[in-house]
Parts: sequence; C-alpha cells; structure tokens
Amino acid sequence: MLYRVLAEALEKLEQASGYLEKNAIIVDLLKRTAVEEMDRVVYLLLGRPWPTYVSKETGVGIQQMKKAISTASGHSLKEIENLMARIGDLGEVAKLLAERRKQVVLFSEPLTVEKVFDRVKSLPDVTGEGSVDRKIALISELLTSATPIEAKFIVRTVLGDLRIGVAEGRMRDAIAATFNLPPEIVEHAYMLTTDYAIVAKAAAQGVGTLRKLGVTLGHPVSPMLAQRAESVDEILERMGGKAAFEIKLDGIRIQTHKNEDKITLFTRRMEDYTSMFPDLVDPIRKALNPKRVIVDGELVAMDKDRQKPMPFQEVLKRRRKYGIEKAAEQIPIEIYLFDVLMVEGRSVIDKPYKERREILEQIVTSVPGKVMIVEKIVTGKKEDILKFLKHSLSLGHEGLVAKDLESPYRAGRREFLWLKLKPEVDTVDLVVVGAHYGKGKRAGTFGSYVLAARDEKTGRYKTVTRCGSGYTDKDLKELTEFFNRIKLEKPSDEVDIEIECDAYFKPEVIFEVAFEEIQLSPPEKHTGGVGLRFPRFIRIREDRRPEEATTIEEIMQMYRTQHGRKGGELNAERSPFPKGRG
Amino acid sequence: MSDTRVWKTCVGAIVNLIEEAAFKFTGEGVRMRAMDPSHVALVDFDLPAKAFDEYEVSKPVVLGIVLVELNKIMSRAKSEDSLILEFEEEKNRLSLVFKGRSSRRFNLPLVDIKESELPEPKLQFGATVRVLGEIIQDGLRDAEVVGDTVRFEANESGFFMYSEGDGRSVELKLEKGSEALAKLEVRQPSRAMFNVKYLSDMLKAADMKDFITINLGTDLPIKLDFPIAGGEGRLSFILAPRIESE
Repeated sequence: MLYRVLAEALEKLEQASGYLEKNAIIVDLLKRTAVEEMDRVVYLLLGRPWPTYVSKETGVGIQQMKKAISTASGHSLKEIENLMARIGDLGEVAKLLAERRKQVVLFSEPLTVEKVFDRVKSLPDVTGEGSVDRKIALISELLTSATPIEAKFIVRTVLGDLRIGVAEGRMRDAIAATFNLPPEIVEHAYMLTTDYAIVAKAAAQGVGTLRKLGVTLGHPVSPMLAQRAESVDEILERMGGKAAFEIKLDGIRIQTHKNEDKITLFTRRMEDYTSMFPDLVDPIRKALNPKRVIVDGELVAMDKDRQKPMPFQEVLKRRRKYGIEKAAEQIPIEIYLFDVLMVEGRSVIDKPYKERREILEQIVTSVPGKVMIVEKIVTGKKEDILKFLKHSLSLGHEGLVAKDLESPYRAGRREFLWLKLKPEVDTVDLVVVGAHYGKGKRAGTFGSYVLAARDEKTGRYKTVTRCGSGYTDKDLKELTEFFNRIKLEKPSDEVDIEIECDAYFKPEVIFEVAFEEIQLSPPEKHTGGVGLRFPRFIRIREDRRPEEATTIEEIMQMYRTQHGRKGGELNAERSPFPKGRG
Repeated sequence: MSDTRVWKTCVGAIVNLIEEAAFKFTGEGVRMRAMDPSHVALVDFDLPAKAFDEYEVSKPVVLGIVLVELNKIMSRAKSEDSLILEFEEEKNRLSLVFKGRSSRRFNLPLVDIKESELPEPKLQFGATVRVLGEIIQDGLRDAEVVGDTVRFEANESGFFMYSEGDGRSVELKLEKGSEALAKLEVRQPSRAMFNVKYLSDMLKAADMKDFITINLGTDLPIKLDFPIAGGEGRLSFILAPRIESE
C-alpha cells in the first residue's frame, strides 16, 4: 500500500469530528488494506510501529526533527524555528515546507507503508557514536520523497504524537465493522493480546483465526476486575452460597510473564514496569517453577518497622527512575500472587478458579517476604467471612475479594464473578475535566476541580461534582503545577460540561474521591444527571486510565442502593460495617 | 596499483554523500554508481582496468563497502605506498595491502547492499565549460562565507559563480579567454543554483591543477566530471538544483 493512502486517511481523521465519521474513515482504510499489511496499517493508525504496551521511543526529539526537515526541505533552521513559533506543530511545518521545497531531487519513488513503517521502527535501534546524525539522515530521506501530507504524518509519527484523536478503544468498533464481526469477539481477542494490530490481521483472515488468538507470553493480558459488593449476603447470593475469599491488597496490580530467564512485569494499564522493580525480578524468577508462565498478582510496599503495607502512593514513588536502588532499600516490596493464566505454553484462563488456584499453589515456591501466594479461605459461612475480613483489616489490608469457584479468568472484564468487599466509605474514580482558581490563601492555585464520570453508552465524560476539599497545601501546589502544563482554553471535545471553569483539561487524570451522598442533579448543572455531595479528594489514581473511571451507570446504581439503605433496619444487615451516616 | 591517491581522494569525496556503496569489479574495470539517501546527488565512479598496474578479475563481483570504514583505512595510506586490493570470497571481505618499505594489510568485512538500477537522468545541458579545479574551490569557499547556496552561470562572456545571504554577496568572474577557462561552449546561456555543501564535498575529489568539466542548464541538475588516474578514469557527480527563491 502506498503511504499516501494512509496519510490521507490520517488527515481526514484529524479533520473529522464525530465518532461515526471517524469510524467510517477507519473502516474505509481497513477495507482497502491487504491482509499482509493490516498490522502495519493499524500500528501506524495508532501512532507507533509497535504495540502500545511496549515502552519504546524513536529517540528523536524536536531539535533533531527540525534538522531533518531543514535538510529535506532546503529551508534554514531559523526559518523552521520561526514557522514553528507561528504554527506550533512541526508536522504542519513539514507539510508547509514540503509544499515550498527548495531542493529539487534527481528522482523520487512514492513511499510505501512498509518503507515508512520499517524506517520508523528501525530508529530506536540506531545507537552509538554518530547515531543522532544517522537518525536525522534516515528521517530526512523519508521526508525528501514525501508529499506534503505524508511529511506531516511522518514527522508526527516519529515524534510519537499523531494528534488525530483515534483512541485505541475505537479500533474495536472499526475492526468489527470492517470485517462484519460482533464487537464482543474483537474485544475479547484484544483483551487477550492487548494489540489491535494482531487482532485486525487475524480478523482479516476470518472469525476462525480471530477466535484462535489466545494468551501469548510477552503480550500483556487485560486483567480480570472485581465488581463492588454491597454486603456479604449479596456475595453469597450471587455465588451460590459458597465462594473463595482472598485478602484484598492495596498496591499495584502486576502481571508477571516468565519466559525462560526473562521476567517482564506489566501493570494493569499494560505498561512494562520491569525496570521499576529490579529487586523483585530475581525472587520472582526463583519462585516460579515453570520455564514459561504468566501469573497475576498485587505488588505492595511494606513498612519495615510496622510490618504493615504502606499506602499505594509509596509504591508509586518508586516509579521515578532516579533513585530506584535507594527506594528498593527504603521501601521493600513484595508481590502476592493470586492467579495463573498460562503454564508452559498452555492457556489456563478457561479453567475454573478452583483449578487455577490449585495450579498456582503447585507452581509457586514462596520466597518469604518477597513472593507469596495471597491468603484465602473457601466458605459459605457469614461469620467466617466477617472474621476473615477483620483479619485482613488488622493486617492493614483493604478488605476481601470474593471469587466464584467455577469462574474462568475473564480477561478485561469487570463482572460479578469477582466481588470486592471493602468497609470504607464509598469512593469513586473520576476524571478531572476543569478547575477554578482558589481565593484568599489559595489564590493563584487551582482551589477546586470539576470531575466527570464516564457515560458508558456514548464514551463521553459528564460532570458529577466539583471537589474543593481533601487537598493538603502540598497537593494543591503540585496539582496546580501539573495542571497548568496541560490546561486548555476550551472544554475538551470528549467532555460534556456546563459549568464555566478557569481552565479545562483533556480527560487524562483520575482522582479518587470520597463523598457523603449522591443526589440527582439537573443537567444544566451536572451533565451526568447526578451530583456527589461533600466530595473529598483522596488521591490521584495513576494506575487508572480515563476509560476505567467510574461510570454514570455505576453512580446511578450506588444512588439506588443508597436509598435502599436509608430504609432503616435492613441497613445494618446488608452492610458488613455500618457506614455511620444518613 | 601504484597510485593510492586515486582511491584516497575519490573515497574521501564520496564518503560525505553516501554511507555504503556497491563496487562492481568486472573484466573492464571498477564501476560504482550510487545516489545519496535524499536523492539529491548521484555519484558515478569509473576506473578502467588499464588504470591499474595489474588487474585480475576472474569473474565479475559486486562488493558492498561501508565507505566510512574504507575511508578510515585509506587515510592510513602513505603517498609512496602502492595498493593491492584482494577480494577473499570465502571470508566475504576485502583486503587492502599497502606496500611501501613495509607491507601492511587491512581486512574490511563486506556488507550486503541491494544493487539498485539507477536511471541515467537525461539532461539537455545548455553549456559546457572546463574550469581549473582551484578556481571552483575558491568560488565555493567564498560562497560558504555568505550563504548556503551558490549560483553557477555560463554565457558568451564567461563563467560566473554568485552567492548571497543576509544582505551579503560574493561574485566570481572568469572571463572568456582566461587561462583557467579551458573551454566555454555555450549553446544557450544557463544558470542554476545549488547547495554549497554538496559541491564542497564533491570538490574534495579534484586535484587543484586539474580541469573540471561542468555541464550546466537553466534550473537543471549540474554534472561535474573529474579526470582521475591521469585521465584514464572518471568520477562524475550529478547534483539536483535548488529552486531560486522568489
């Protein structure tokens, strides 16, 4: 396929606004794509020549790109700087200069998708002495042969910022529509592979090939998630009177892939975090007996003196690359395993929970204080469950997760097969979409943030509260610094908002927020139709994507049960811990 | 061959344009044609068998050479050395022996290079001139002082180079009848502008005392021919023009 075809589709996508319009453009492009090119086209559509979970960069910065554009176009660096100051996007600068190219070439060949893909993919491997100049030469060669629109998207792809507003999740519907498949099958294949390029290529070969896609070592699998349970009774009712109860840890969900000696740790956002936890790699390699295996677990930070887990943020502090060695000493981490997805090349996700747990116990040799299997009981007795819950809380953990004994591992799904039981006040994870400057002591910093929940039906973010308490002075300062860098003049086009703000943001950052009560709200106030009363900021959820925010439907569900609880006697009976409010 | 200088200067000029090149050794001699990665310049290197003291090629071979590496090796050659090139097929490498008072052997691993057929641009040049290498070199150095482009012009009255940038300008005149202008054949007055840096790199192949043949056409690529190995061989460059800014 000629790269021109792809670049023109990207240009159209950038200009299109509606979901359907964008979908139609992608579908049209995929229909014109040959099977053998499908993965390359999907990767480039998503902006990188490798899967999103691979933490790799081309290593080409703005300055190098300016040089490459200068070489290819024959315009001086100074002219490029001036244009950049005016236009603000090097892709557009490259496009403009390709139109006004000063240097004639002896002959040019049209660029193919394959050539651009291979070239961009090769960039991270150009290392060592003179690599900067070699990268510039490799890019300027592409730009020399590029049409103006091609130049624009080559530049953006190399810089890793495509700016066409195609979220990965959109590929599900586009692939389904292109190959006339149910979206669920496409989504399921994605949950197992985390790679829409692989999914699209398989889908192009037919539903049989797509269904054959399975768990693969080295490819993160979307983790199975737990629904919130209101009470022990609800759990026993949903799980047929008996279930497994595991201690619920508050840490980072980590999926470990072991391939011979190579250990890879993926977060629930499917980012490769292996380099963040070097002190865990050796113990986990020792603890896992099989040569090739994928296990699921929770990583927690321990307070050495108190023998209790530390708050979630303490674990994330280690993310700063600088000082990992030191952090490893100060904040020792341990991982608790609770599930297994693949053993020696065989997927076990379709086996029932009880069998998987047995396999897990067979294949793990615990390394005390480092790698352990999460504690669990199997019971149908309420007192045992409550006793175990107390035990969990006394150890400083969050609560329990109940698991249906017969349930398969449902990658990427949040269903009622796993239920979490937490005694805490209700919290929700909301997306920050706007902010107001504070007054008095808080002047000059953002004093409150407008938060939104996701509408699952439309994929849009709708406001539900304005949260101005719960922040420490340090929080306010740091949040202001951060949000000032990403603020927008107008609301992001994915957000429905009626409240006028001093600054708006793209839905990117998630706040965990506690609240007292949910009430219905007129849409001219909160577009979500519900409002949270007395919201209180708890923390930033760096491990969550905006698509994983609490949904409007979930808040509505809480709203309905909240009224049920207010009914009186039943209240204490349904909730394991009286919430002491209302 | 007894003259290491030919290889040394040619490689030195080409290395700035092209990273790797496929040299074709046949019964007639050595040939290499390649284009720089941005397709702005084309190099044509032709050294016939008779330019060598001894030449033995039993079957034609194409050797892929990393020019940066070859250039480093050639820079070790002394002017009185003679050079022996040997292709060791089983080891896929080229050995270069410098014979002077001692004998020094370098081995250079070869690389795979896709041999692409390059089209010969068909160009209708308006003027052909022969100019002393030194004059062109001076003109280019002058041009580098004021800008990054240089305009070549040939008409009935002579050969000219002109450059400007940021209000500064420089002009070189070589009038008809000058000793340094061995040939002035103007079918049509011609002028075109080029990137100075490319030309400066190419000029590294010229002996200042040699005459360079320049083919020029209005807004067409320029063709430069350097005589090499005492005129037995030839190194040519074709360089695409820059568009004269409005």
